[in-house]
Amino acid sequence: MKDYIVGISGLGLSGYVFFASKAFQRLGSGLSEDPAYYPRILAGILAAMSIGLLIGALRKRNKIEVKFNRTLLINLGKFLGLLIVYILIIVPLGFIIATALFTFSMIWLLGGTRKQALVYALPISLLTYLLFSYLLKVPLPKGLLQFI
Amino acid sequence: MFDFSLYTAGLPLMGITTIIALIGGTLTGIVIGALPGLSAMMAVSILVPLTYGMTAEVAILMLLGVYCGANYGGSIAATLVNIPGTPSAVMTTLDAYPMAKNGQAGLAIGLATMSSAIGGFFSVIVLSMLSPLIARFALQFTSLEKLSIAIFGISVMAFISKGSTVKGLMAGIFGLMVASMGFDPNTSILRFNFGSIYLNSGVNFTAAMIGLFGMTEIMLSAEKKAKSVPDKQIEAVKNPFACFKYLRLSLGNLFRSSVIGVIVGAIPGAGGTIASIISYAQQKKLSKHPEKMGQGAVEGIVAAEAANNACTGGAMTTLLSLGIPGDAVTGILMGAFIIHGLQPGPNLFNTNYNLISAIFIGMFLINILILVLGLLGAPYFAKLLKFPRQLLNTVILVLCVVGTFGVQNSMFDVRVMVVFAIIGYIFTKLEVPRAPIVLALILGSMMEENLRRWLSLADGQYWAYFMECSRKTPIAPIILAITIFTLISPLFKKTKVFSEDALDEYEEINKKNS
Repeated sequence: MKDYIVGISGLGLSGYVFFASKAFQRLGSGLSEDPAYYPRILAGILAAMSIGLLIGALRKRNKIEVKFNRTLLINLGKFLGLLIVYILIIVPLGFIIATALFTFSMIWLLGGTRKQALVYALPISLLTYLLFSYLLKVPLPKGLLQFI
Repeated sequence: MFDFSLYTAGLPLMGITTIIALIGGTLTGIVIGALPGLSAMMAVSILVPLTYGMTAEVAILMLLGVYCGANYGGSIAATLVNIPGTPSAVMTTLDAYPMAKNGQAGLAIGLATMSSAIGGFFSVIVLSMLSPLIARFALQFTSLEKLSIAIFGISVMAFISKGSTVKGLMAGIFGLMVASMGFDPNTSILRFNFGSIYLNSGVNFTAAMIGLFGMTEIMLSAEKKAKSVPDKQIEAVKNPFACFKYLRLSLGNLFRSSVIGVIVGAIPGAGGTIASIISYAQQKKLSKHPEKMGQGAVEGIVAAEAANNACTGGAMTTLLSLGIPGDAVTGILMGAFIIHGLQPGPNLFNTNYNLISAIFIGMFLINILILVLGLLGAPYFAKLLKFPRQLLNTVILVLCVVGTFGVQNSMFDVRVMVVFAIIGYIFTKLEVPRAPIVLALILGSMMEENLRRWLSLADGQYWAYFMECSRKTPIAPIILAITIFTLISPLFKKTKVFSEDALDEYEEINKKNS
């Protein structure tokens, strides 16, 4: 099953690269002046390997078995959801608030106790802020806390 | 008379800041290496952004400390929890864990420390003697040789990674495709930018690395249940100095394993894991009591740890003299060099003589630090294993995000990082190795430039020009032949001896032990 997915995605990617590179403007006649040449070589090799992988999988008669662990998928979804929300709120809310909220929920999600989450969220956020903005001079977004 | 200036020119750079950075880096490395699930690769990729404000020599030496420290630190978790703290410590678990179960955890960590430091010392000596010679030789390389070395590196990396070689190569090609995004180097025509101006100069290397090796690792480790360490074992970590009793007995083993480590480390693509597998197997063949290996034998720990730390010098040799990273971690280190405006390769010996010298001196000091910090700090590092996992993972997630943002103060890079984390996760689930992607990302632009330079020089007469180049120096055809031979060798022989697949054999011993 895994080999089928990898093989088909590989074919898809090489097909995309091949057709997308058609649009590249060519400036000269030599191969070295053709911006599409190199990506197309890569696409060709990738396609050949994908086909090889697919043939190998067919010959092995890999049973198509689909195993999904539901709780794992749900947790993964929560994890990614949390991460995306975090990235979206960093700029409007500012780094300190966003990170405190994120660490609070992430510690909880990863199996920590509510007490741990409450105690550690703010210190982690403040320490990282201090480390990066004062020691390493990275201008982190201030958001709602413009006055600091 | 010998010219010793290469070994002393770096001394003026070793100021107080550099020394502090060295100690801090090595300590951080050991700590990260000691925690299971946090690898050297992750440590270096997350810490690269922290070095932006530093001068080049401070930054590089700190990261080298992290690299070598993490390589050693892996043995601590291997001893106490039977989980390699970093992948390369996998062979150490076989003997160190049974020894710890017998109540000799201190001795096991001591032996690992001593062997790591000696292996490391040996490799630095080889590095400092060989790399100037190889660099002088490599200065003559033309585009064809550079191209073939890059192809060789990516292929070997794909071959060595656990699982199918074809999938490894596909991962490499994927990396090369990603590296070709943005302006075409020859004609400045935009390629694959998906309509975003942020991708005009391609994908940010550091962001991709942090995604692939920082965040993906956390996603994978959050799935597993953390193994708890019995307090008894942690308390048993005392008197690591007892290891010196075994020093004289193990001299031959130490030397042999270090040589294996350096050689394997110097092969582009092969790293500590392979080195320790080979030296362990070698020791088992030569041992007077092979049946005791895997049950807490001193020689097993010595062979595995000396080899995996000797790899560091070998991997740095190819990085400094050829500009080709010896393994995935040095690949990320190469990224750090570039960020600080340095291009690793033979020219570095002319342009940054002092820095090269400082790297030799620094790596020497790092191995002394490993010995001192390891022996004195063993009981404290052991306590780290008690640190709550969810807190650690959350802190690392935040560091991944801020670190990536800090590269060029861009939220776009953070999104790129998350995309690569998801790619890394999917790849791992589909059993496609991630390591070839690093090498491909870092070597991609060099490969394309050299390929096209060669094509334009050939001017249509490709085969004739290839023959002409080969007549001048046969290096390129030889390297290409070795590459092809490596890739088709599994067709003739069933088992891949020189690959991480050899690990399966040892996994059973490991199961028995725990």
